[in-house]
Amino acid sequence: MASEEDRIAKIASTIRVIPNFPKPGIMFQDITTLLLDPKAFKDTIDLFAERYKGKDISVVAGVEARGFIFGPPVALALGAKFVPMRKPNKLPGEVISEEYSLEYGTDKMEMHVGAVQAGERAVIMDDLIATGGTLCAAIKLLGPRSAWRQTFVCPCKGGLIGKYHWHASLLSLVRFELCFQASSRGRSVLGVC
Amino acid sequence: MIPLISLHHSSFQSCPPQIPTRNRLFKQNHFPGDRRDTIQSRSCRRGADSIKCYSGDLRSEEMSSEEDRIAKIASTIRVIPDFPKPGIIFQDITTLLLDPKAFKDTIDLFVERYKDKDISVVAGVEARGFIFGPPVALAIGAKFVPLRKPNKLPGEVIREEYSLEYGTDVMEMHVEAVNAGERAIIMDDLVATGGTLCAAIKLLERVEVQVVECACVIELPELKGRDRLGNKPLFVLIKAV
Repeated sequence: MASEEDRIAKIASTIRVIPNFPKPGIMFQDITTLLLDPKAFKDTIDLFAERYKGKDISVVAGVEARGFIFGPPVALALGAKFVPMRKPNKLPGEVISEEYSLEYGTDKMEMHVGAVQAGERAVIMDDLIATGGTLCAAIKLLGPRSAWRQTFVCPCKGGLIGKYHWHASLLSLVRFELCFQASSRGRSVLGVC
Repeated sequence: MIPLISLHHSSFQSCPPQIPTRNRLFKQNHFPGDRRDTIQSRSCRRGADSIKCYSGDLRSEEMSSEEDRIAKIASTIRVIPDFPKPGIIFQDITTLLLDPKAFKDTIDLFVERYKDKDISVVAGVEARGFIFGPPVALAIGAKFVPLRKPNKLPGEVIREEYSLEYGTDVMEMHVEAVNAGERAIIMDDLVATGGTLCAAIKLLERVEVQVVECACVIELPELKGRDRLGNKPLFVLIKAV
């Protein structure tokens, strides 16, 4: 098997950067081109599965919608449940919801009641972490005082993220230089968590 | 070989016919172009209903294993009445995803069907198609191509408008994701009227991709999506009535 660095280098090379999307000044990290390379996609999943195997992870939660692409294959590899975290009014059963800040306004994330049990160990997955607002909301939904231990994302990372000080660590496969200024609003989202 | 049918069929008879109560289980074996399998169709009459049962020409051990897996998968799907609005019976696959064995079996059943069929593209419809498509794509070594709501994909896209019950929606795909001549399957969790799948087929065919089959976990036969797909094959694990 190729080394971890080789695989990550290959994965990084498949990610397309699109300037000024969704608006001027943003450099969008497009993982759809990674998905067009079956070897790179497989390596991405393998790297996460290798990390979490044998760690007693019973829940992989994925954030709609690109977290639905990476979470389920990792869940399948680990023999864990997959729990979708969705935009409002998509989940049909009883839900708990968490509101979180966007650059302008707020959004809401929902999870089915009963999908996870107290004491389960969970991993939260998404394609990218930028300000961390989405992931913070996901962590809150699972319950900061329950036995979840780790929060991980794949494969891209923005340079905005500082340290998490509470029971969460962050794995990203690929680091990119951000092309826009870190905003203080981004840090305050982390502070609230 | 007796196909698996609902044990609660008699109770279904006493319910208002327009409200489905149980998933019935069917299995299709025949893959278009396969000469090995033969299809025998039998009508099984239970009261006023007629249930078409298909059995392929497989060894009985293989078939019972496949039927066992489908029975188990069906049992994990939660039915939620009056969602998203009164009168709709919602087939909730999130409970299937909470059962790792059932989820794995679901993927395996599609992979067994499509591996070695020269499929190079698995297209998945946002958002629940993103859950089932990628694991199948990974297992058969194909690309995964997301078909998305408008303005989500950052690159150059082609768009297809399609009808909803009220109004229309738009589906987009990156133009560079696929090449002319590639063989594709389209995946979603469920097919109802077939409107979404039709839009997906049109998107792929506009760029000269050959859509070999549409594949879903669940079909709602009463909504006639299969007819709407016309001559495009549809494969499902479960028909819910």
